[in-house]
Amino acid sequence: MDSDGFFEFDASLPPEDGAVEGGHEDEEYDALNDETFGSAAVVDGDWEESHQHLASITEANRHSSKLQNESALLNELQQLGLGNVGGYDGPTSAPISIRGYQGGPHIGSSLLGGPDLPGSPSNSIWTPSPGVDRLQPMGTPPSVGSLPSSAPLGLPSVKTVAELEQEMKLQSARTQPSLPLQPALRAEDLEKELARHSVTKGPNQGPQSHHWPSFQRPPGLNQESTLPANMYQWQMQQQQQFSQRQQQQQQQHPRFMNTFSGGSGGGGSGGNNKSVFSQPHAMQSGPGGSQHHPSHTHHNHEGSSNNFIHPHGPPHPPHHHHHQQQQQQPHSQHHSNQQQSQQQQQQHHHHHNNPPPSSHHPHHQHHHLQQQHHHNYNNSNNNNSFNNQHHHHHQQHHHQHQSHHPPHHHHHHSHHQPPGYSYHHNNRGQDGNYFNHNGSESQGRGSYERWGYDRRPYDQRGGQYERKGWDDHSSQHPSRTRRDSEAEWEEWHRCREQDEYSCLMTPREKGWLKHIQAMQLHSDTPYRDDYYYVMHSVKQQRKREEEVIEIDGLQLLLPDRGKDGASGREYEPPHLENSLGKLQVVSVNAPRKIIDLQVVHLDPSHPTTSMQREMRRHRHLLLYVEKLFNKMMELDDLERRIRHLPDCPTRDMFRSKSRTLAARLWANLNATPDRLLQVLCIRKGKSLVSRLLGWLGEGDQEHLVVTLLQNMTLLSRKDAHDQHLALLWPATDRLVATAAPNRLLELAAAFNNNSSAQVPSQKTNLAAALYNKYGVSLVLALLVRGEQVHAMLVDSNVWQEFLSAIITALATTSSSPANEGAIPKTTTSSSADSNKNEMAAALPSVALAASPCRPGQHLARCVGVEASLLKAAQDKMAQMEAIHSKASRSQSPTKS
Amino acid sequence: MSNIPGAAQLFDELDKKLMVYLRDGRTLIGYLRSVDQFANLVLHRTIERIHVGNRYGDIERGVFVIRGENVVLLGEIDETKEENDRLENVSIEEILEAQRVEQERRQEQEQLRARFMKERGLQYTAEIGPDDMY
Repeated sequence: MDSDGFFEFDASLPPEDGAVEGGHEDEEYDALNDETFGSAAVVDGDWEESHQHLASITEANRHSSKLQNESALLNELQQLGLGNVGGYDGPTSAPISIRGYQGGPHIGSSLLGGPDLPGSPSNSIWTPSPGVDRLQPMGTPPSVGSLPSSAPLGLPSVKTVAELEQEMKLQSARTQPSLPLQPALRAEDLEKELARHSVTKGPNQGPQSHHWPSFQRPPGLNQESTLPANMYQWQMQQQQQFSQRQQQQQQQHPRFMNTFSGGSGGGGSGGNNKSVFSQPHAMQSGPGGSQHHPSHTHHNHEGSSNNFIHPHGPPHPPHHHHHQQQQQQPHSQHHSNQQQSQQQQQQHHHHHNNPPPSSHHPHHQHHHLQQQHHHNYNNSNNNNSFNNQHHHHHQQHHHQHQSHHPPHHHHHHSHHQPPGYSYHHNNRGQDGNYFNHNGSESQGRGSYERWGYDRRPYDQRGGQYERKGWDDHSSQHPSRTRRDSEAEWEEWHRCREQDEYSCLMTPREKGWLKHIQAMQLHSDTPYRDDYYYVMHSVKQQRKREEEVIEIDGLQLLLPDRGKDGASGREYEPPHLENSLGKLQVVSVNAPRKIIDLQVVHLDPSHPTTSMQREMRRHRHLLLYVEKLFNKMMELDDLERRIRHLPDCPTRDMFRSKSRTLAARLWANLNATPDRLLQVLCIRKGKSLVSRLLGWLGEGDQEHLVVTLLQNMTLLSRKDAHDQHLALLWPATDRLVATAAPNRLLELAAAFNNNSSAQVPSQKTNLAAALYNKYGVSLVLALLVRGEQVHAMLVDSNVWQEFLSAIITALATTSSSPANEGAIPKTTTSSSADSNKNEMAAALPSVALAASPCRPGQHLARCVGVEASLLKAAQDKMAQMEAIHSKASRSQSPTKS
Repeated sequence: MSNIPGAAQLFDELDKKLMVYLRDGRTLIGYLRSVDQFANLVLHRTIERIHVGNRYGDIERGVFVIRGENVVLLGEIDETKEENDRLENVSIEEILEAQRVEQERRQEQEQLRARFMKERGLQYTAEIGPDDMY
C-alpha cells in the first residue's frame, strides 16, 4: 500500500483504492476461514490488540528515550553484546512482545512519571526482572561512539513492524490531530490508514511529512515480510560466527520471556496470548531461534534510526547470502550510521554520512522491495541461479537510477520499469501475490502489476506467516492448523513460474478446501456413518499385509480424515424428518430434487388416507430397523474387538457388554407380539435377524423359527424377491439337526397351525414353504431329523398331521406340471423359485448331507394316507433330493 | 493432508484441460483454474464445442465460471487422442447451421410423434429436455 504511495503517486488511480480493497479482500479471506473453521483465528485478534497496546507503550518510550541518555544502560548493553533477540515467533507476534517489553520501563517513566508507579504496567511486568535492565538499553538510542565493537551485527536496537506502524500512526495523528487513534486495529487497517494519510498529506509537505509517509513506512512493511526469509539466510551464516552470542541470547531469553508472561496481566486482555506466543519460542530459542535475530535487528535498526533507509549501510540479506565476505564490513558501517542517525532523529532523515548520496533512497527503497522477492524465492525455490539473476537485475537498476533525485519518488516508479523489467516484476509479483489473483486480475495487466507491488508486503506477510511461522511453531499454535506443506508451495511457485495463469489456487486455498471436505467427511462414528468405506479400507489393508491386523478398535484402521482440523464448529449435514440415515434426496440424476420435496404431514390430527398411514407406519418400521442396525453394528464392532484381544479383563468386559447388547436387541425385537414378524417382512430386517441369530440361545432361535413357520404364507410372499430368509438357514439347519423330538413336534405344530386363517386352505404354511428356499430346506431338514428320531415321533398326532400335510402339499404342487407331462422345472433348474408355481430348491444343508436318512423314506411313515398320493409325494421328494444333493455337491455348504 | 481418502476431489484436475458437460447439454472445454467445495468451476481459455454428427465446431468463450450444480460430468482431455480422432473440425457458422438443422429435424419428429399418438388416443408428453433430465 505504501509502496503504492511511493511508486505511483502520480498515478491517476488513487492509491487508497488498492489499499482499501486489498485489505478488505484479505480480511474477507480470513473471515471466511474463521467462519468456516470456527475460532481458528481468534487468537490473532487478541494479539493484535496486545500488539497495539505494546506498540503504543513503545511509542511513548521512544519519546522519553530521546530525552534520557542512559549511558549506564548502554554500558550494560555493551556487556551483553545485545541479546535483544527475543523469541521470534512468527514474523509479528514475538518481536512485538519483545519490543513491548523493552519499552516497558520507559513507559513507566515517561507515561506514568516513574518507573515504579504502582499499578503501572511497567511496574508489574518489567521492573522486578533483573534481566530487564540489561534489555533496556536497546530501546534507547546509543550515543555516538559508545557503541561497542561487540555488536558488529547491527543488533543494538530492535524495532518491529508493529512499532513502525504504530509510530507512524502516532506521527500522523500528531500531524493530523483529527485522526482518532483506534484501539485495536488490525495490521491491515493500519496499513490502509497510513496509506490514506500518506496520500492526503501529499509528497511535498516538508521534509518530515514528505519522507515518512511514502518512504519510511514501506520499510516497516517490508521488514515484516522480509524477516522470515532473512531468518533462513542468516541461519547459515550466523551459525558458526555467532554461536557464542547465541548462548548469551539463549540464557537471556527464558528469563525475559518469563518475566514478560508473568507480568503480562498488566498488558491488558492480550496478555495471555502474548505469553502463549512468546514463551514457547523462548524455550526453543536454540540455534534456530536466535539466528533470527541478527536480521531482525538489522531491519529494526532501520526502523529506529527513524525509518529512513541507508542505501548501502544496512546490507541486505541477499547480499550477505551471495557475498559473505562483505558481511562484516557493511555492518560496522551500518552501525556508525545508526549511531549518527539516531542522534539526528527524525528531522534529518536523509542526512547521513554514508558514501552513497541520499539520492539513493528511493531507489533503495525499491531495491528493498525487490529483495523481498528475493527472499521469497530463496525460500521457496532454493534456486540460486534464479536468485543471482534477480540480483543482477537489482544491481542494474540500482545503477540505472542512482542519479535520480530523491524527492521524486513517484518519478522513480515509472523509471523503474524498463521494458525488460516488467516481465521480471510480473513474475515476482505472482510469487508473492496470490491474494491478488483472487480478485484483481480483471484490472488488466497494467494494474495487475501495480497491484502486485502494492500488496506484496502483505501478501508476503500472509504467506510467510503461514509458511514460516507455522512451520517452526506449528505445535505452539494449537488453534491454527497448517494445511499446506512447504513442498506444495515449492511446487506452486514452480508452476507459477511456468505459466502465469496456472496455479490460481494457492496451496493455502487448496488446504482450506480440503479442510472443508474433510470436515464434511469427518465422523466420530465412521463405522456407522461410512460403513462401506470403512470395511473397504479394512479389506484393502488386509490385502496389503496379508494377515489379520491386530486392532483394538477400528479407529486405528481408519485413515485420519478431518481429525487434524476438527477445531471449530462441527459440520451438521442437513437432516430431514423420516429420512433414513443421511440425506439422500439429492442424487446424481436429480440434484435438484430436494427442492421438490413435499411436506409430509405428521400431525396425527391431520386427516390422512389409509394409504398415507400405511406408508408412515412402514417408514417408521424402516427407521426402527435402521436403528436396530446401528446397534447391531456396535455389536459387530465389539465382536471384532473381542476376536483380536488376548484373554484379558477388557475382553471379558467386552464379552459381557456384547451379550447385554444382543439381549437388548432381541428383547427389542420381541417388544410387541408381531414386531418380529414385521421386521422379518423387511429385507434389511431379515439380515439383521440373521446376524443376531448367532448371539441367541436355542430357545430364542426356536422361537424365531416357530414364528417363521407360523407365518410362512406371509413371509414367503414377502421373501419372493430378495430371498433373504435364506440367510437364516444355516442357523436353522443347525437347530433342526440337533433338535430334540419335542422341539420337532413344536415346529411341526407351527407348520400345521395356520395362523393366517384367512388364507385359503390350499395355501397353507406348508404349501407356502415349498415355494421358498428356506421353507423347502426346513421341510427337508425336518423330515430327515424326523427319520432319525422316528421312534419317538411317529406316534404323535402332530407329526402324523405334519407328514400328511407334506404329502398332500407335495402331491398337489407336483400335480400341475406332472399332468402336463412335463418334467417339473425344479429338476432342471435350481433357480426355479422365480415362478410361483414351482417349488423352490432346498438350500444346502450340512445335516441333510451328513444324514443317511432320506426324507422320502420318512414320508412313508405317515399312516392313513393314500398310496397314490404318497407315491407322488415320494417321487417329488426324490426329485428334490436329487437337485439338492447335486447342489450340495457342487457347492459345499459354506453358508454355515 | 495431501488427499482425503475415500472422497473424490478435483484438485488433481487443476490446470488440466477438461471437458465439462453441462446440464443444458452444452459441452465446454477449458483449463480448470479453480474449484470450491460446491464444485463450482473456473475454466480458462474455454471453448464451447458443438458436436453434430461427426463434425464439431468450437466457439471461444474465454473465462467461464460454472455453478457446480450444472455440471453433469467432467473429465480430462487427452490432447494426443484429441488429435487422432476422426471428427471433422468445421467453422462456427457451419456448425451452428448444422445444429439448427439438427434441432429442426428433431422438433419435426417430435411433432410427428405427438400427432400419431394423438390419433391413437394417447397423450403425448414431450420428451424431457436435457435441462430437466439431470
